[in-house]
Amino acid sequence: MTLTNAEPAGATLDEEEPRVVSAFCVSHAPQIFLGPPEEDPAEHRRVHDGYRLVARRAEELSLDALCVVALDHLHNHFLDLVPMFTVFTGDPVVAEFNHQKVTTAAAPDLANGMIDFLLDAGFDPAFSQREVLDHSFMIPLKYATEGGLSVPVIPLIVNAYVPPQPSIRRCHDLGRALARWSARDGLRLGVVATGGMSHFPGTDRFYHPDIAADREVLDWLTAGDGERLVSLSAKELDDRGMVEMRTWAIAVGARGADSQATVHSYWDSGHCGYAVVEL
Amino acid sequence: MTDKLIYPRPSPRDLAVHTLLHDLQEDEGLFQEFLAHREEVSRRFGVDAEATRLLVDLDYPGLVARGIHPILVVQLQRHIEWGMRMSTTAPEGD
Repeated sequence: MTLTNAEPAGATLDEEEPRVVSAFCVSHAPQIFLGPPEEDPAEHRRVHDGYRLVARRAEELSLDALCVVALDHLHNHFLDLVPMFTVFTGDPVVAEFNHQKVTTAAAPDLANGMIDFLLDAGFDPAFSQREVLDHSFMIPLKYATEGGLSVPVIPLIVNAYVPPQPSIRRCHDLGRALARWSARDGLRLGVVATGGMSHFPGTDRFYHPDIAADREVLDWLTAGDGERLVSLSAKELDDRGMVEMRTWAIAVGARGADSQATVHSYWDSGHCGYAVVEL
Repeated sequence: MTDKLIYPRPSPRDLAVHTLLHDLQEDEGLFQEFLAHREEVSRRFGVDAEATRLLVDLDYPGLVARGIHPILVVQLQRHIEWGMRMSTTAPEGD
């Protein structure tokens, strides 16, 4: 695995193989925001800086919108109804965690256009206009807005934790559909997927994240072999502590599974691999 | 690797427990009541005797072993031990 702060290779759209303009995969563990004393604050800042870099890229690349792909920790989507994919179509976007609230501009017209495209493409996303998003959105949006994020946000919520979840292949394919939507409509779309890497909250494996699996995935992505990630089974994801990596697969699909990733940072916190990856 | 998922499909028999754990996140008043009267609140939610005992004892590993979703269990644990709140219903300025 190569860790580098180098700028990524060009981010131009390929006419034959649509790709979103920008894509990131970044962790969102609560500790990154809460800053417990046993963890190195410099490592938290690396993740914060990752989200600030998302904002910088949005500015540099003149994005029209940023699709934030995250999840729901049995919070809004409880057992009443558990949709596989949900597009937030309300306005504004509000996310809260531990009583801190972040509010950002939404893009309801674009979000509805995304839904229409996905329906035509064989996906059946749910939508919500009334939802206060959880920490998987609040943490990225907090640091991205502190970094100057000014483009509207389209939240996409993936069922990561409640089986049966969508297959990671399905998530990848949805990402491909996002790329095709952006190409068809001439949108300069960015995607930031949040979650992971390996962690096991609430279980006896909490202090035993699968760091080897993290490094394997980072190696795949840096080699432009995202196909390996999206070939994992639901059981393999669960066993590796990577149920949240379904969000990453959407970013991989949107940017192209052959995209060679830049790993801006990675740290084994002892309970989770914190990563900032640009595709 | 076993066939059992670490993050399991919730069982219908545990709906009452899951509902209580979820509502404890969302309703700070209920959470405070639960801290003071764990058995009473659990019974009010229709939680069975085994799970009530686990909740009264704050036996987090026991709840997970029973099949309760680990995410809901850890959120209760962090709410109690860290004061961490997932709540979307917290009043402004709280």
